[in-house]
Amino acid sequence: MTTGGTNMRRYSLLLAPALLLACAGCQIIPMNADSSAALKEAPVIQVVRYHSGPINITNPKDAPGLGPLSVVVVGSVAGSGELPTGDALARVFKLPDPGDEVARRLVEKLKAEGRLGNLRLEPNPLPRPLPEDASQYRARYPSGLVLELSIDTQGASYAPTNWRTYTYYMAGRARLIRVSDGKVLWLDTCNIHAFAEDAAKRQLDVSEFEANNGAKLKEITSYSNERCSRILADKILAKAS
Amino acid sequence: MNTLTLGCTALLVSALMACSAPKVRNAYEGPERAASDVATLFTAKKSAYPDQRPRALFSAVNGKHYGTAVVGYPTVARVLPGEALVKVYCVTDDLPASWDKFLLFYATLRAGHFYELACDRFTASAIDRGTSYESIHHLLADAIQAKQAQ
Repeated sequence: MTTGGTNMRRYSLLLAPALLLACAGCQIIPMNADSSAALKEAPVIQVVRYHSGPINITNPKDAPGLGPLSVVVVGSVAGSGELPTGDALARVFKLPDPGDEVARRLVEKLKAEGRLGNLRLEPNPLPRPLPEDASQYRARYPSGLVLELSIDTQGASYAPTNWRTYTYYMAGRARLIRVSDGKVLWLDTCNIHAFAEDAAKRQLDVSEFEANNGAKLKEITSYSNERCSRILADKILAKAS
Repeated sequence: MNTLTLGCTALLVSALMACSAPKVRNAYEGPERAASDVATLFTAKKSAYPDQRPRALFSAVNGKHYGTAVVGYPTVARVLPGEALVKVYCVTDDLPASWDKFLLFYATLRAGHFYELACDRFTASAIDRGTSYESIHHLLADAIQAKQAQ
């Protein structure tokens, strides 16, 4: 393989987490007149969400094709090799689980903008794994609808040409399920990735992860939770985001 | 100059800098302060404990780095007292380097106190070992003991 080809391969691998597609392989089911009517007429819509995974922070030591020497030198010079784990950042700065935050904000929007008074947000998130078989909710809820939310990926990744600037990304999926027969009435995603129009609002320098008690990281994760809830609310209410 | 030469030069410079770096470092700006005016954070020597526990190396305080892979990590860091966000590099000698990680924690540091840095795979902390150097000197390497005694 040529040097250019090797670099292309390396860059494409580095970009993979930034380009992730939420719910790869799953079929989007748009809202239609029937599902919209079911949403309004259901006596109760249970809103459930699942525990989210930790923030996956790209580190030079995970980059393909770099030797140990390059990892130390590049990682230290850029500062990206000295970043704490996503777990450590979330714990010390008390970052909320994005699943909790997106679900709470989504319910607020649906109540305010969709005038849906039948939403019931489950007090606690459910443990993974996420059941692909939607009929499993029948054992938990006797009737009505379930609005299921899962933030499947969240992380921060640097650009191949700038290892100091990270972009936070997030991908989530939501389904509206009719409990009586387990039918999925609606399914869609929020995919907040490194090449979206708003990517600049989710960028932070490597030094900003820890500075000011994580203020920038808190701001960006909060913005992303809001953005994801906005995208999903607009899709449910059939509005343009 | 090709990439290999550049890399080797960088490695040599890094190694020299790390080896020559002082093992006792002031993690604050300004003039030297008395030991009674700062908190002393230290990493216990490898032989301090019979088990192969992970070692927490001082990296940064309040977002400012005083230890890196290039300049080396201090064995003893003198930090201003108060509430501080401390970052350590948690290293486990008997596991691959990919298991090593940087961890954060908040600590309330008191002037004149010695704090032993500790970590496991998920959390890190600074254990207050009191104000007596005599009670902790056996945890420090000989070279550090000499420096601390100065």
